[in-house]
Amino acid sequence: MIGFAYLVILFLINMQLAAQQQQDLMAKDIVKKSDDNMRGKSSQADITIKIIRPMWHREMTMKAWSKGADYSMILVKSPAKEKGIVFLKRKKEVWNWIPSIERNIKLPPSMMSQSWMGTDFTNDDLVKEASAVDDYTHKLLGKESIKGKECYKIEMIPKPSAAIVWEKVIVWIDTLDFLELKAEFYDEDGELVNVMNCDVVKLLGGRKVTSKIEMIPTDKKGYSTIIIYNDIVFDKEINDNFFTARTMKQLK
Amino acid sequence: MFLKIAWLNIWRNKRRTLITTASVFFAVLLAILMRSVTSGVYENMIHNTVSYSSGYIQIHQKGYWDGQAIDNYFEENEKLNQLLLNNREVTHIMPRMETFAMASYADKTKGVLILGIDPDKEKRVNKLNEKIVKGAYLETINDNAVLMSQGLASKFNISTNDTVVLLGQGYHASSAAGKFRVKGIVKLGSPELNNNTVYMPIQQAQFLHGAENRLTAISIMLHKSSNIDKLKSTLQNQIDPNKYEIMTWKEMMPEMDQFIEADSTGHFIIIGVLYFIISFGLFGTLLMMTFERNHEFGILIAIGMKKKFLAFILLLESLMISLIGCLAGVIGGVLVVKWFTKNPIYLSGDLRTFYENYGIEPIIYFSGNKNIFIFQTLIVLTLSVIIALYPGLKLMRLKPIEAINS
Repeated sequence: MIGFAYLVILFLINMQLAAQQQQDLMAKDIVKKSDDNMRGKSSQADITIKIIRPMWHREMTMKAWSKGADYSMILVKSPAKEKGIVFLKRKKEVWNWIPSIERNIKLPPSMMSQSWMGTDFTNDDLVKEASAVDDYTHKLLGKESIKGKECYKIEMIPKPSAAIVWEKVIVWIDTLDFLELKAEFYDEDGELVNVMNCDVVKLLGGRKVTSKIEMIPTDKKGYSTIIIYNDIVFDKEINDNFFTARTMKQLK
Repeated sequence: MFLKIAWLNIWRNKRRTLITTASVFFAVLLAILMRSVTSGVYENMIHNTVSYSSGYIQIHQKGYWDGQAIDNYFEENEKLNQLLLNNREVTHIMPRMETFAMASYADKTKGVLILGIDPDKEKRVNKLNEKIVKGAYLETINDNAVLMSQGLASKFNISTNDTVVLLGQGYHASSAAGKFRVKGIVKLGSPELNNNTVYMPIQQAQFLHGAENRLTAISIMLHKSSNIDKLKSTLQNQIDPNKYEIMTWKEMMPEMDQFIEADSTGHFIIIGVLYFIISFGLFGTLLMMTFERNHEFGILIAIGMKKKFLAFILLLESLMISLIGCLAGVIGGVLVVKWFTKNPIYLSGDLRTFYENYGIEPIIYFSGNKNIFIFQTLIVLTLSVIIALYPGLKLMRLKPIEAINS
């Protein structure tokens, strides 16, 4: 009798474990699907960035190219004073071309967590040096509704080997379109530091994407940065040669 | 009547009076000169230091000092400038823009302090143009070139007409990047400034940072002996307190203020010893004076003069002598200080290089602050009055018979 009960318990534990693994796997798939959706094989985008501060606002327009997770390039088109500044990401390296001083600067890893162009995004957010899929372990926390849309709530904890400043990131991914609608970033002390809201679902380049991304640092009142995708072209062939220091200097 | 008797008494023995007067005179003169030199040296040090750095008083955008960010810069305002210049204590005003940036030349990069200046105004206040060791001084506020401090230039191994790259944070999150020709190399007194300063014409600095017409601060220069705290409160009432904040160098550089305070404690001890010596000198002469006249006092009391009247006359006598001495001392002090202000003592040798290394003019400057004259004279006068009480006391206890027979 006791032997049977033992067996049942063992079986149940096993089931539980299997289900857990299944769920974690599913969480990872969800994040991957969402990540692929936004990134595509390659993309070209026209972006407007608004920096909002209590006393002033500022608007920049940019053009961005990306290919897979390894390559991306961003060109600043306005304001005039910063026109021509280019950021290039190649695998784990980030370069910054500044035309007014004719210098190409390699950003050290220590600068990755610093503000990018005065926005509330860090250099790391911009180039996505860390992969949301490979550099985190994922856990499905359940389902929650955001602005009337049912979402998977997923906790992402960075792997020890990844150079990520967050202790954990919680993301909400829409169950229908697999769009990331919200993310919360927590620092080493478990404090909520940044909230990212994604909004205005649009059909751009044949895909459904969230065209407005708002980053709000929680400790600074009245601060936020808004990224608006004006246009995106997905999966247009871009040669690897495009993502080189030489191209940076010629981009217009 | 007492006054007249006292006045006649002191001139009865001219030599005795003159000796006492002389001792008071020298006491006052010494005390004044001592204070004048020490505060003169401090005033000179402060003047030299603040003319390169903050100015005696600075005006910032409200909230700048606590959050020293480029976004807290204020717009240059002609009305404010006029208001400041209209004050009689203000000798110069200097618009300044200060930022930190990365400077790069060849394969070296360093963090530097960029000082946006008005070359012409700076020249008049701190003679920056005379600190040039190589190359030439900036000409106008939009000259497209920079001056580099000597220490920094030697670290970069950069020379005049080379181009330095500056990269920093601009106004409202814009980026500040530019190339500038090094027009001259300046040797600055403070080692700290000498190792990391780049002077840039103010309009260039404003353009580089995308902060047209904006300033970090207006530095205000005053006469060396102006009362800063009083002026600060006057200005505070004149400017818009919601827009600007106003600070003195003491608030901005508390370490220098504390150094001076600690250093002058030592001087107070020395001057205390000086007062001690002065009092004993005075005491001696006064005592001799009373002993000499012991016989005379005895007779006066014997023929019915009241002791307290006599003591009072004696007090008046010493008061008069002290007053004459003090007056002469002040006149002498003023003359000596005037002379040395016009013809300051130039240091030479090791002391000269020492001063120059710290960016202070190698001269001994005498302070003409009128407070010194008043305070020192009052102190010596009080001392002599206290001392003059003793002969009076002695007189009250005088036994006429013994005095007559002595």
